[in-house]
Amino acid sequence: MMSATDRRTECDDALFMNPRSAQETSLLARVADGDPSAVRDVLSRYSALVWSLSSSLSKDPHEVEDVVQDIFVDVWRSAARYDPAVASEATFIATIARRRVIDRRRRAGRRVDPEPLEEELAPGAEDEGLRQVELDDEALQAREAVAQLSGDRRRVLEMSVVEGLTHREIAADTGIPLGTVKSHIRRGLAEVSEKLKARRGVMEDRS
Amino acid sequence: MMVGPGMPSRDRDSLDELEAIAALEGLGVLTERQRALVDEERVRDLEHAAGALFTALGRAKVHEAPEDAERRLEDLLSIQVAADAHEARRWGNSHLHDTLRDVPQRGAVDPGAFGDERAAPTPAPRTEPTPETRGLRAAPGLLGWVAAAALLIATVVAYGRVASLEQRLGEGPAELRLQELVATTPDVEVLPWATDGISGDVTWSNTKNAGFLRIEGLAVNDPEVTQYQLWIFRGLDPSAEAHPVSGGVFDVDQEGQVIVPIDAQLELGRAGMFVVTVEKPGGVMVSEREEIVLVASRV
Repeated sequence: MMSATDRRTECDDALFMNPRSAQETSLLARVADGDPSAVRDVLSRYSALVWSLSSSLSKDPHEVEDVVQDIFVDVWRSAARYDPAVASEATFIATIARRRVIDRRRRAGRRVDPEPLEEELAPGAEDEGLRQVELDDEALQAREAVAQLSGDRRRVLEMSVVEGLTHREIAADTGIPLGTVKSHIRRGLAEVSEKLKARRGVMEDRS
Repeated sequence: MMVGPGMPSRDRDSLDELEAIAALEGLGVLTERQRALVDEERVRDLEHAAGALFTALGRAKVHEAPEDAERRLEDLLSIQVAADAHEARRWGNSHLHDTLRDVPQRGAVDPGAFGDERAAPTPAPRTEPTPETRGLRAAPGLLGWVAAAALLIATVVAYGRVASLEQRLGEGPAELRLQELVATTPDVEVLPWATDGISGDVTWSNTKNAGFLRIEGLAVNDPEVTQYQLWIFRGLDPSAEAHPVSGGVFDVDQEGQVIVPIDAQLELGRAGMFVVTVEKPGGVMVSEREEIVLVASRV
């Protein structure tokens, strides 16, 4: 099976191989420095990502717009603590987006419309149907890492990380014992984190 | 709990669990004692892993921002930059940036997750926008507002912290706030009063559940005797709605135009008709509708 990384073109590699390129790093640094011209550049690069991550929240475009605004305001407030040594800018922004989207979803008492994760992870799935958001290197690594988890662990991790369900909600939904749910989450998240850190180490060695 | 390289595996699992919870929900959900135990660098790594997973699995079909929304976002951030610059000049840079990691997420923590270390989570203060200010949208042409926004911020900020730009912008005079609502809200509607001798209108946003009355020509009232009260009907037939939503009481204390913010007591979903009645001071829970002085409706 061809990995997502293998499917990239040489041109893509030029973009992906060093996710902490000087250009990329400089964007949030410019935000942290209060550079007014960073507004357009950040939106140009990350608006589609944030809009896409937020669109699962609601079919109401005004509500989606609200959360997108919240996310970008948070990005502006948090930019000074961005460390290019530990995450890509896209991951940093997605981390903020996750918090905001899940918090809104919880307050509204909404659940994500479930789709089988296996379909998303199936070979060639990303080539079918709607175009996927262009994933940065770390998101691709995370995707590959989670695909290697067992079915239950993968599902539980997705319900927790992506859908924002509580441990008890996941246990009730899946019938998996509460202790096992907790174990799946902590171990699954740790496995993905270790893969990302290992990848980061490889990239640093190359550079 | 023993912490360190030789800690028992059960303790290691508990610590891992704390760190996973902190990564997913924010360090603010932990007690001080729990927070002292966790490795914050590891929490940060797990937090970023969650962010990468959210991108990878978040059903991330491409959704381009509508062009007008993109412009509103750009203007909002431009205001944020101006406000931050103002704050930086006033207070220095060190205070400007909130740390999301200290902010717990709502309703997510399972108290049972902490084992012997459990304690009631201590909510950290949030800077959530209020219903009135939620979703502040800057609009094309609003950049002239930046200077006014910065000036307003200068007068309102008691401590040097950009905690809620939206809230401060929402605290301006009613006229400015009305302009802001009109300029920044896509679904805002303006309904003229259908009452002879009265000019003005109702400006209303269903999504924000907020709006303003502009009234000119209504008699000055003595608040010791009577007050005006706004009622909001969801439909267009007042006789079919026994309990419209109160939009608050107000006074007309001057000749000429008055602008009154609507204080809707409940979420309306969609407003169809606005009616002003004369009531006793303080208003009433249910109006007898004996003296209706203003009506504005969608038809």
